[in-house]
Amino acid sequence: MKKGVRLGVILPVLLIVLALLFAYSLVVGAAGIEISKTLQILFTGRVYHATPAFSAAQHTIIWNLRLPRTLMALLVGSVLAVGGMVYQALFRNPMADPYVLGISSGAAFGVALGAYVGFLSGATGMWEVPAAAFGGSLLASLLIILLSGGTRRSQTTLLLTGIALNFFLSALMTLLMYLNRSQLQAIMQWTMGSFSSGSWDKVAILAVVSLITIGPLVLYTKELDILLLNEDAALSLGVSVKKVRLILLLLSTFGISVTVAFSGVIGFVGLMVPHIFRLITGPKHKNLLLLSLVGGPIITLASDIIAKTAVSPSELPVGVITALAGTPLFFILLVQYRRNR
Amino acid sequence: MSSAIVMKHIHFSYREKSMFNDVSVSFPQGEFTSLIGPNGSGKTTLIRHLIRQLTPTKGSLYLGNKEISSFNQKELARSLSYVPQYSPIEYDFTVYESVAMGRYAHQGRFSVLDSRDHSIIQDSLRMMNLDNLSHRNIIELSGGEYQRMLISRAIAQQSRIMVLDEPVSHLDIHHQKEILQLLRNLVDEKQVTVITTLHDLNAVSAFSDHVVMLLDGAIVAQGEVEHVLTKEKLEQVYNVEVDIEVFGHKPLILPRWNENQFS
Repeated sequence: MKKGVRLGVILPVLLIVLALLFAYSLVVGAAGIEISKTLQILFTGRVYHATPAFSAAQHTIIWNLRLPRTLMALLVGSVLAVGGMVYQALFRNPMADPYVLGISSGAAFGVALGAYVGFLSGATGMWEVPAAAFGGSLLASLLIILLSGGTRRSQTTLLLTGIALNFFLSALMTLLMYLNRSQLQAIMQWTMGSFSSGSWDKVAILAVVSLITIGPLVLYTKELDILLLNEDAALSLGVSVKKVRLILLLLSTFGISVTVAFSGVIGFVGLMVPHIFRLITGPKHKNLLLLSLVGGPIITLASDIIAKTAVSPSELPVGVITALAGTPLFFILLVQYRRNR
Repeated sequence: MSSAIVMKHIHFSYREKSMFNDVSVSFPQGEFTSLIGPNGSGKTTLIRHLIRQLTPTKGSLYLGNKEISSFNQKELARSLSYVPQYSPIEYDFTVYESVAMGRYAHQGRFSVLDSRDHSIIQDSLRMMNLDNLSHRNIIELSGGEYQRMLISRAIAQQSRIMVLDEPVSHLDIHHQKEILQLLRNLVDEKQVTVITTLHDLNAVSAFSDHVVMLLDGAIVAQGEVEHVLTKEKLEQVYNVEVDIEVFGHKPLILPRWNENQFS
């Protein structure tokens, strides 16, 4: 029995790591604000009152830039990790990740197309961008399901379909960028994720979205376990496979598309996090959900810290960091997978 | 004798091709029924109707006295369990966790396994001699152990009917005997209705109460073992010469593999 590591041990450790990363993420940045001052600023509250201890600019940097950015990274990490976990169960494939399957690119394409046709031009509210992203990612999921023959065909077919879809969508995105040079910079941002645009509005929306997408999943952990079996077995155990799959697909796709709308495409978080915890505690989703919820933000926060510091004072897109860490794992999984056949 | 399942005048076609044309079968309650027939004769199609994976184009299928279509998915799982053909999965659940999935149909959306569930899981493991393997990862199981795990999971479902698709075709005779004897015990001790496809005609003879014989999507014969496993019918269905010896009242089937085998 290799699942010796108990949830009661690993979860507190993860929470401590997460808390440290959270704190560190508030301290690092182009403007050097030391830890004691950062804490002081945090405790005085969101409204600035003139004080000799720190300047209004420093207060703004902590409260309106670093804190929302950090919170956004945290929420996006949770949604991406849990979303990846759900996709892996839905497609019965440990390599199924919203990025690998082209779902994230679908969301980014939705936003780019929205910007191009003018749906998102000018003073758009906070919900139009996520709506366009959701539309794009739903379309991508549908294409994936139809083209790969759903969940019955071989897993290689699924991955190849995802890769083809990614090629296609990235070609379309490039086309849109050429057709719409004024938006080039903005569209680029969605294809290479970043948390730098974090704001309180986005944090609020993401918090609501996380709650409505991850919340119901708590009630579906038994089904997620059983979906890993083949469809006949799942049905005969009493799971209404079609209905459950649809609910899970809509929930996770919605969550992922909103993260793409706000922070662009950040790949491989949904692949890495569930995989690592599956190795440690086994495939039961009751544990996996909780661990992904905490593990996702650890990856995104750590990646964001690297993105902010690696080439300081300039910044890297966070998607580059996660891809650099995630692709080797993907290769390892591929090799393992081929060996098992 | 009451029937656990009755199929009445089932027609079924797939992509314009007629697979079943007016098939009627009944499966006696609390008995061991074997489905036999050559490859492609419709055994799997029949099984897939029983587990509602296929819907007949015409005709009706009753479970007890209710139409199968009137069951919701969980109700169906509480009435009928299914052991699929051997197809191991790559996820390393433990044997206990896998068997616990059999309790799903008895649980509500908000409920977790309670002490009653756990004792049912323990009993199911014990019946399949798996108590010592309950913490083993299922990817480490041998073929026979894996099959016992699947049957144990079906037992945990506590349904009155268990349907199996070729449960022993990948096993050696020792493990074939083990599995079939365990299924026989389920029938004798728990009055479970067992319906299974089997290829080995002598195993059919040794373990079944009732046999359904198919050829080209039609029922050639159904009834007690000695009435179905006859020289005439076997030769007609399998197109192989056979000799039959009778021990007690169980027929022993000896196929003629070549001309001079018995000369």
